[in-house]
Amino acid sequence: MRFFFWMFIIALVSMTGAFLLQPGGGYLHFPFGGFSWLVMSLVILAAAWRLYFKKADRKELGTQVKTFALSLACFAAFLFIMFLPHIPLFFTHNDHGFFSEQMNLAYILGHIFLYLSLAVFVRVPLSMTHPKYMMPGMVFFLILGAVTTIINFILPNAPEFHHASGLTLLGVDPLVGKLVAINVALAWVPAGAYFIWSGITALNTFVKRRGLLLGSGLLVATIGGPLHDIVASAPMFLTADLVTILGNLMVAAGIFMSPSLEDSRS
Amino acid sequence: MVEDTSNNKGVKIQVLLEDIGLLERYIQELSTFFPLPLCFVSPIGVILEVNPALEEIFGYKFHELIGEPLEKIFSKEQANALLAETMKQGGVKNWEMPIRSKLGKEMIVGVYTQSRTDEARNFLGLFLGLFDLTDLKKANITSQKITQTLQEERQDLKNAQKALMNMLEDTDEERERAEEERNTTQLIIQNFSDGLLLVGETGRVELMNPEAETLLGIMGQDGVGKELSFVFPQLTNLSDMKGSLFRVEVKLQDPRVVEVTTISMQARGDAQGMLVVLHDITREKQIEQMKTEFVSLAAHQLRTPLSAIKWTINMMLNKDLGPITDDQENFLGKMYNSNERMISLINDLLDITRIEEGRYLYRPEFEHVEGVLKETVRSYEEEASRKNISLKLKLPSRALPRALVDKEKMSLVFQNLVENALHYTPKGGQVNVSISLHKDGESIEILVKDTGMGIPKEQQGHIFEKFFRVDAATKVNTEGSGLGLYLVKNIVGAHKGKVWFESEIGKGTAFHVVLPIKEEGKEFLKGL
Repeated sequence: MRFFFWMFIIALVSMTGAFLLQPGGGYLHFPFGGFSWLVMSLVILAAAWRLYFKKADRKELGTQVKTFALSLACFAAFLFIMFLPHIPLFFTHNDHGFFSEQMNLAYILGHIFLYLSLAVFVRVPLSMTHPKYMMPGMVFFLILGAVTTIINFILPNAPEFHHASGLTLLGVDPLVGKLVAINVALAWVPAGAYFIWSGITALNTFVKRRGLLLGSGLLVATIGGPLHDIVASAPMFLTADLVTILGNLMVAAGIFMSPSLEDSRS
Repeated sequence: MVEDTSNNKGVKIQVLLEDIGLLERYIQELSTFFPLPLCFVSPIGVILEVNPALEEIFGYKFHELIGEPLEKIFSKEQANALLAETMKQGGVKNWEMPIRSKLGKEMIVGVYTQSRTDEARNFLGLFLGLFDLTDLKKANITSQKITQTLQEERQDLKNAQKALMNMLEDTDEERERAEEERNTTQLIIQNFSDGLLLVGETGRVELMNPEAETLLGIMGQDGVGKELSFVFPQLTNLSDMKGSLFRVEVKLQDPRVVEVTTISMQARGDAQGMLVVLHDITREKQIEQMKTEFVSLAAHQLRTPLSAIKWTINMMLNKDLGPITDDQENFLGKMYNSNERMISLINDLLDITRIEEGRYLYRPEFEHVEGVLKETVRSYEEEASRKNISLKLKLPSRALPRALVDKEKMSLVFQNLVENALHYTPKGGQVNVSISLHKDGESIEILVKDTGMGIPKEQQGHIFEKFFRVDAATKVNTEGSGLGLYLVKNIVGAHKGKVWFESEIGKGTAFHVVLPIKEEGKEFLKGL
């Protein structure tokens, strides 16, 4: 928990500092936006790995845990693909055209993994509440994702690297941005609310904490993620980055937290 | 000459008078100066002279004492005694007498007298001196009191010393006894045939005996002071050890199996740690396993020929092997039914052996238990109608939360309960099955109630035992194996549920099954 808290504080301080203390008219050469994608992808991948290899051996919950792990793995893939075009920015900042082109492609391809992640993820809460709708739910998200991807090909993004802040402005078409936001919100908001409710009503302190952390993390990430797609200015991108990092770290913390003897007794 | 002589005499007299005057003044000044009270008393006991010290001690003025009898300052008896003794002995020394001053102050004085006589030894009076002993006496009394108090305290001290000595002796005896008891306890612990671990409040091992060392394969010095999870890593379900007594079988290094009993130690209601007893049951387990294997093998071996018989009879009954007469068909039908019962019994036996071997696999999934129950009841509707028994199922108006159950095994539980109810309920009777949310809100309750023969009270305690059948039941239904309820209890137990019943002879029996609801959301969060 403490680890994730300090990671967030470091991210918050470094990114805000970089943004606010930029030299007058000068250029920052460190791509903070790309760096945050990388860090988040690694954290989420670690969470997926833990779930799949450490926790999915329980007969009665194996399927759900594996599904959740798979969803997180897809999400990590999305984050990592979003990071990839930033690699040249760590060395040079000259070829704006190339970065914009690559980032647009990475956005479209990366988001396919996001839609996959959402389609797989909805199976988890649906299996608990409305098992009959597991398959229709997944198909719905796949279709919605496919439609969004097609529209995104038709209405491409105009991403650019904001030198002054080190952030990546995604330049997403408003229609695509709204569709992405709908995708994410439909999948994560009900699930987040369900986890929060499960946490609130749980008697076990550990389950309570995990439910609240995981649920709130999903809600925060729901706000932060799509915010990237509907904003245009650097300060708003910074906000979106920080909110997304916070949400993802909360989800990861919810997965990595382990019960104390006291918790397991309660 | 005569004149001279008379002049001389006159001078001498004058000189003598002056001397006497001087002497008188000297005596007066001396008596005034003298700090001790003095007085001169006439032979008849009249006070003739007093000094200021005496005035002071008695509080009388000079003129109040002069010419007064001695009784003014002493009692009559004291005054008489003083006069008599002085006349007789020439004086008294330090007679202690109580006196009272003019103001009523009581004093104790030491009285000294000295008789005054002339040359012819005629008694002329007496000198009386007083020595105020009041303070001395008071000091004396105080000193006596102090001495007495000291003596008392000394006595108390002596008594306390004595008591202390007694206590010390008692303590010594108690200590010796405690040491003996400790030695005995240590001997018992050291030589106890079961392993013993004493776990402190902090969860650290405080003591372990040699048997525990052998069983756990860890030396005492390596284990004491360490966490229980370090010393005994196989004991994983610590969270279940809530009650004062907890028993669980734990498999150690193959083939060793121990039965672990944890006893919560409490002093005045406060938890003081835990005693963990390790009882080696390897031998019992091996024998049990051999027995189970034998039953399993025998059952398997029996089932194969019985299956062959079943299919052969089936073919004969279907006339696949040629035509048969009605009598033959009747006999073959009975053979088929008997064979079916035998197969059913063997299947039950195999289930029992699997339970005992721990191989009775559970595949729990979140299920709507009412669905499973509905299917089971429906499958018995025909039999109930054939027997003219009213079989009713009451479902809740709102869907119940799903419970984590093994659908197949739970179906077997319901089958056994409904089947029993139908078997032991006479024609025209009723079997009511219901499912509802238990009043605690955390479990589902299934009720199978019949209007059958009931279970005698003296046999109710054995109803869930293996192969047990109620006496009356064997007369009504000869087919039962006595394994059904044993299976029910084990399956329900494996789901962490409870099963119990109420029964009255001639009125019927009601079996209750309570299954805990495990809400998926919370289970999911717990299992991440």
